Amino acid sequence: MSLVATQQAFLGQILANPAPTLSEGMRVYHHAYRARLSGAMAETYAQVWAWLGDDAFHSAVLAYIEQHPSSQWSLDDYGQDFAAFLAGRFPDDPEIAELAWLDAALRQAFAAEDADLLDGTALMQVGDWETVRFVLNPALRHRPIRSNAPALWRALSKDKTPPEVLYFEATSGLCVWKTALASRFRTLEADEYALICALAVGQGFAAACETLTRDAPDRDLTAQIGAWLGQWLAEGLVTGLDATETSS
Amino acid sequence: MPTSLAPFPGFGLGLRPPHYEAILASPPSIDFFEIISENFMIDGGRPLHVLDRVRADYPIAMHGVSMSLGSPDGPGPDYLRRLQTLISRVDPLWVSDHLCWTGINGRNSHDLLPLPLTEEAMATVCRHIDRVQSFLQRPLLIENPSTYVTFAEDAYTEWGFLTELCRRTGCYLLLDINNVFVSAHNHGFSAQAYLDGLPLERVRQVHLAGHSQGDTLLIDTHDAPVPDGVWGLWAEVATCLSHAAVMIERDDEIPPLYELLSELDTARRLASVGVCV
Repeated sequence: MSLVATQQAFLGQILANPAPTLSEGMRVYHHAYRARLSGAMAETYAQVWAWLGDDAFHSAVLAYIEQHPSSQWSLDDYGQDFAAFLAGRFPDDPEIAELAWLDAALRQAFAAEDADLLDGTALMQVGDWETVRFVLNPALRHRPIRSNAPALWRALSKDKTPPEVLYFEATSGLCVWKTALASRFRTLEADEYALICALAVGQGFAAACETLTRDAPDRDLTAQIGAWLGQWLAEGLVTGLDATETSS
Repeated sequence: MPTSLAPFPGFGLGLRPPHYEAILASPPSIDFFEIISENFMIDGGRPLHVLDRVRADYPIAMHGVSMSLGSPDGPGPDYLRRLQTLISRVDPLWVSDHLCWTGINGRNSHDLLPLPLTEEAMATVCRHIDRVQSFLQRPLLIENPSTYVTFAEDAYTEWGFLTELCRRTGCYLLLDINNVFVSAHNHGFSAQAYLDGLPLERVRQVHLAGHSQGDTLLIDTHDAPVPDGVWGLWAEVATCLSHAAVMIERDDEIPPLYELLSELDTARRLASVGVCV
């Protein structure tokens, strides 16, 4: 048998579920595959585990593993689709998928590129506010949410009793990023989140603000946008200015 | 490409997260640390910050688990680029990986799977070692794995396979004494014959580790102290490996740092008696 054929057959036995009749040695490999992947997911999705409990979590993880063979060399990258998988498995409980997304995003942010805080005086160098673009934290991950999953996550991570699950009519945004080697997150109301989303896809600051104010003609958001910008600088959500758009 | 790799005799430990604080607070008196390369092939974060601080005080050996030298495709370009980035950052003593394959056809087991020890496998592994050594511009160290099955078509013993790999590619060896012990038990060969058959002068690093008992097989779990049988094997071969960098490898159920330092003292003591014959 060729090397390729031998290896295909070998891996096929490992991936087979339920396990075929195997020698003791092959059972070691069959077991180790699932143990390694489920161990990695238990580490990443610690608060989902705490929320679901042992049985439901392990059942979900094993089901995920059987449906999602690993295809990347990095074990850290395994389980990226778990939030979407849980959304399908628990369609009436969106907080579960949102908790999973938050667990994974915090871990990704931890290993993402580092960035220093931007000194607020940098804004004084902006020569043309019509064209300036802000550089967002390189660890930033974000998604819309419908539940109070961030509050659940905070309680679970401190071994406290989580609050009652709440679902919101208005969609808000959940942002995860990193400062000083520590991952952090915050919920953003709809307007602030819309602005961050616009900046995240590379839109200029003025254009993003114009879109936001056009969509809310009955409100004057100027002061609010200024306050947001100050907060983003202070908390490291914005870490740079596009140098080509600032004065020297 | 440099074809020789200077020995680095010494005693070291793996750099593992549970020990970060203790190591930074009170750097232990050891000669080197080994890192799992993949744990640091990332863009940023605290692990790299800790690594830079440790590297300022210690030589670092880089040990990988994902090169998959025995699979038809071998390591991909993304993996090698990230590995090279880490090498540039660390300037390691050397870079090692295993005699194994981890996946095929886009599927990854994240395990060190056993190779049929055939001429075809020899050609495959040699081709990938040549490619990687050329890309990284340095010789690799290849580690003997623990295995739980063998193949009817095996044409080499494992030690014969490793010896021939060294001859054909100029690679060096990372000798895991526990893996020799485990595989000797599992497959019924003589651990001493294995060690006698290896070109020990090509060994640059030694792993000492523990294992666990399966139904009848021994399992390489790295979650227990080095057992007597592995110490015995180390005592027999240690004086012939006085040129190698020796470490305690512990990846699970990681004890306080002082316990591993105590095990390392045992490794030193056993290496200081006897004569290489």
